[in-house]
Amino acid sequence: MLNLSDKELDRLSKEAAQEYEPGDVLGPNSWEKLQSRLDGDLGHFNPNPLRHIRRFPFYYAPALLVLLGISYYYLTKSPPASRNITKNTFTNQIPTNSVNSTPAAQSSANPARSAAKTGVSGTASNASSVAAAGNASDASSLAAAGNASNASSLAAAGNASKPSANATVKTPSDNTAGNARTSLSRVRSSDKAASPYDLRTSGNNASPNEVRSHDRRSNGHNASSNLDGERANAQTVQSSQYPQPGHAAQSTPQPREPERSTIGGLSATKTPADISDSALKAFTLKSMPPAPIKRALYIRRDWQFGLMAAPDFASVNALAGDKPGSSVGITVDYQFAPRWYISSGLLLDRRNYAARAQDFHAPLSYYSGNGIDPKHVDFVKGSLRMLEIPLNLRYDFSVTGSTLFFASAGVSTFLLTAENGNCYVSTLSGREMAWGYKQPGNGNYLFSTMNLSLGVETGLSNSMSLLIAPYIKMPIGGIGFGQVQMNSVGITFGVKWAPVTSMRRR
Amino acid sequence: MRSYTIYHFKYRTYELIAGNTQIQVLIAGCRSNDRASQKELYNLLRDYAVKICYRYQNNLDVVEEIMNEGFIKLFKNIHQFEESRHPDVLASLKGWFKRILVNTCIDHYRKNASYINGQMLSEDAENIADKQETGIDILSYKEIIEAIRQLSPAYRTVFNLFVIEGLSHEEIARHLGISIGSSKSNLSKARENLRKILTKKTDQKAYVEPIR
Repeated sequence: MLNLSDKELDRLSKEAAQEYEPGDVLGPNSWEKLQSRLDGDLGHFNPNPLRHIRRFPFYYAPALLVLLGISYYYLTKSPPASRNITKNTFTNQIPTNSVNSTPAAQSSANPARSAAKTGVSGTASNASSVAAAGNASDASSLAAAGNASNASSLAAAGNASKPSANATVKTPSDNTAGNARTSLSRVRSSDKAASPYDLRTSGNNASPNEVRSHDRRSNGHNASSNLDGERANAQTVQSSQYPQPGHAAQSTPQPREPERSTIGGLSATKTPADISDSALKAFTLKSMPPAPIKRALYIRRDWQFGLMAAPDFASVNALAGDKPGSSVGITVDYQFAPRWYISSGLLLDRRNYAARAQDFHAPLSYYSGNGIDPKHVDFVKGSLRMLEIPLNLRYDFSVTGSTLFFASAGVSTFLLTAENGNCYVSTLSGREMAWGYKQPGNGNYLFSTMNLSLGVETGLSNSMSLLIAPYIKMPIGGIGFGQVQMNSVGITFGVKWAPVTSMRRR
Repeated sequence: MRSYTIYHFKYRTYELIAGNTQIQVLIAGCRSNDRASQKELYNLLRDYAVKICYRYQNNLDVVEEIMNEGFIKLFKNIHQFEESRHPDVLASLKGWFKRILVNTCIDHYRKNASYINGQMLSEDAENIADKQETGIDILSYKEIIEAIRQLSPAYRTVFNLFVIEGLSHEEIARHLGISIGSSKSNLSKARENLRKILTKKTDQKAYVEPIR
């Protein structure tokens, strides 16, 4: 047996392991075997630049956000039809408290109104009962919706040129009148001057404002009553939505503010449904002491400070980089007018790009110094580190509750801090060689990109808000060693803090 | 002399930077699943990988299988490699790749040959002498490596891990899932068998040499 100690044997074995090269023991097809396994395990390699198509949603993100914002805006601003129906149904169920009605009148008015709604009230007794209930508009509505054979009802309701039903003061005894004609004649003979809720088109006894206001509404109402019983019903409902005490409103009514009508829908808000509310206002003004004047507290938050971060996808002439970059920094916004801000900040950008040879304009000394023929350059991959100083103008085009949508545009200045990359050159032998370049940052690029952004900002508290804003940065000038004109898209995620800058009462 | 040293140092530094740049480009390409870069790196590391795997297996098909497995692991996990850790990126990459390959060899051993606790010398052990060897060295490196490859899987693996990779018995026991005593025993038997193989080789050479 070989007389070798353990140490010697180990040493020899170690040396042999380090020095011995088995050579090409695998054969010439070893790479093909590995490649087939790589295709299975890591996927096929596709040199097509369109492989970055998965990033295209970032390009479409601003359009999607605009669509979302518009949809949200219209959904919140326009009242849905179901809301009207619900309101009408609800107000139909509440007791009718017309201006001059008594509880007895109310009890007779409700079934009449429900009859008008269904359009089956065809008798004069129904119409008279409604007129007796003290609400002439109800009577006209009923007549319009019901049986046209009742001439007096039609005259009262449908003909705007004639004096229509007058909802003036009636005693409880009036409410018990047996027919519509009697009721209407009483209405006509009643004190027109004292009637603030005259639905006639010629309201010569009312104040001018009132006349104008009610004439306009009355005309529309009567016309609609003749044409559509449903509208008349809506008007009836609206006139009954403000519960009133039983006494007559004899003071001069004030014109109503349109927004005081709580029932949605166009026809409901423009009909003379404010009668009872005017009475309420008159009552309130007379009986209630004037409220103490409070000065409003004005809080100003003109400045906003924020932290933001964004993935950044750079591309040069539609050729995207291998991996996303990033943009992180602080922002400052100043509100100089309602909904208008000017914003700036300091961002640390890292962009990874790939560029074709025709888009990469390196100095000729670089090519000559490295012995590169610029014609043989296939593409360039590089990475930029920059400080970005944006200057943007922002407008909040939709403010709903604590959420707002905004658009912003501006320019950015870049201070290059570092750049490196590789220039891929195909040699005559078919091999591809890479030549690196690296330079410390010494370039300042004033206003070299144009920024466009659309975003949404929602309040987390009084002073904190969360911001999401897709953006696109389009090149104005070249950046970096190769003066590449780089597009960049991404989505900004940020948190903003708006401190109180002033607080005073006016 | 001094200027030559400075020049040589500068030249070496330039070579190192250029080599590092090229390796970094290849690594970047491999990270983006670029087949050309992967092929380039494969060609660069293939002999190194064969050298390692060859010691652990006596079947070339298995060597290739282990090696390919190691390369796939390398390409899959190359994003974990930090080229900034060492000034010589290639050396750093080789060290990292060696660990991958050795672990792959261990995995393969545990999967396929762990049931073999020991094995007597095969008849092939007598035929390991290289008839084409004409040097005066009693033992060439190739003969030693081939002798190691003729050991049984259990002995060979323990011998490789202890003697060549420098692992302790505790680490070997943990990696292979055996006791420390088994590791020591396998190492002892591996040395003994290796001596037997090499003795036969030298005897054969001694017999051949007078004829020359």
